[in-house]
Amino acid sequence: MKNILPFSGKAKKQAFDTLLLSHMDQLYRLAYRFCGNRDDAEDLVQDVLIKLYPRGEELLKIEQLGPWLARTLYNHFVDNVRRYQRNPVQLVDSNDASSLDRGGLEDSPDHVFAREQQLERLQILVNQLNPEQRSLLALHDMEGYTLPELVKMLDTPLGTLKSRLFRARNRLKELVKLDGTF
Amino acid sequence: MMTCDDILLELDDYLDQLLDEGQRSRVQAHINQCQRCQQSLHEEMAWRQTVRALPVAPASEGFAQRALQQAKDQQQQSHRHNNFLAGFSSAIAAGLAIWMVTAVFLSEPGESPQNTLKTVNIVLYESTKVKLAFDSPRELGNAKVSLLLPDHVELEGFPGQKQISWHTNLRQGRNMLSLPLRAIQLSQGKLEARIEHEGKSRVIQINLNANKPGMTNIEHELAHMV
Repeated sequence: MKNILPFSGKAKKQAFDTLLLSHMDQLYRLAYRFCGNRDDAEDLVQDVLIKLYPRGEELLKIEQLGPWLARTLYNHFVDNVRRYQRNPVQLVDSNDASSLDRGGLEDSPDHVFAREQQLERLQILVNQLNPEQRSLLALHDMEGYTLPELVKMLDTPLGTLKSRLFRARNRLKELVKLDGTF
Repeated sequence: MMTCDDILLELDDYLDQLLDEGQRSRVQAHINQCQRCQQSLHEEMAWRQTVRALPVAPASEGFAQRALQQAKDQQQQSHRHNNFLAGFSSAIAAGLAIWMVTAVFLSEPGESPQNTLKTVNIVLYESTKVKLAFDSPRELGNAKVSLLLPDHVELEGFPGQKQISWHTNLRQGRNMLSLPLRAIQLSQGKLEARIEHEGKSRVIQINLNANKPGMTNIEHELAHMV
């Protein structure tokens, strides 16, 4: 007998949490790649969850929820990109040890710190790509979705994706070259 | 027989594993015998590794649970939301005077707080993080942040731009705005950061003094208490 979760009241909330909780890390990570900063990434994930909450029963029927959620996140980002490009600089917690600021410089080897600065610089340049380029680089080059997976996920022909990816990579390399810090 | 130019054209597909077995073998055979193409391959692999290594800042503590709860609460919140905004407007009006009078600059231990315009030293041609701390009595949703930069300073990633604005949410309590600034001339001038919400605004001004290169990156905090 098929187990159909009740979708009303408290049971509905619990069912929604059960479905989504295991995907939250993946969603946030992808959102961070798209937006380039934590605040906008959390807002993006939050907005998608708010959209999905009334559709909890539909989510139950989806076989591979992970890629479906990634696609939903991507579509929402692209459709509302202005809302998620608000922050040219990141609001950081003053006590947040995970921020890219180095409180313990004296304990870090120079080359590790230099590498971290280099990555920080690269993130600034990635944030200058247009949203389509940035999100495709995020999905493929950073998060490892293969092109065949992206064809299905984004409903876009392989040739088109390859061209866009090629342009995105070249654009980033141009920005790096102009920047001159690498 | 594949040429080096052919290999360069196929390199992306080779690394993205889009070549069939025959093509892949031909590319591999050329690379095995060509130092120049080996170099190109290694450079491209190193570049891709760098891009993959871009870190993801962890989500704020409890984000997953909070976000899931908020998705449910959002549908019940519109009535409460209107009441919150009405309360906030009066809180801002009361707090404005306190903001301006008690703004303090903390740079050296033991330094007495002063209320005049403070000077922050930044380094010519080097990126310096300048942190501005905003203490907010409540959450401010969709607040507008505006920066007005002096002529001799740029915000990293925004070359040539002197006015930059965006919207953000401020948390209740301390919010730290971390500005990566770069001086492009030896000069000094005023930076203004303005926060606007629901028709009210608050401004922080600091004087930015560009020093010659050779100094280490310095972080200064400008804190104000409300």
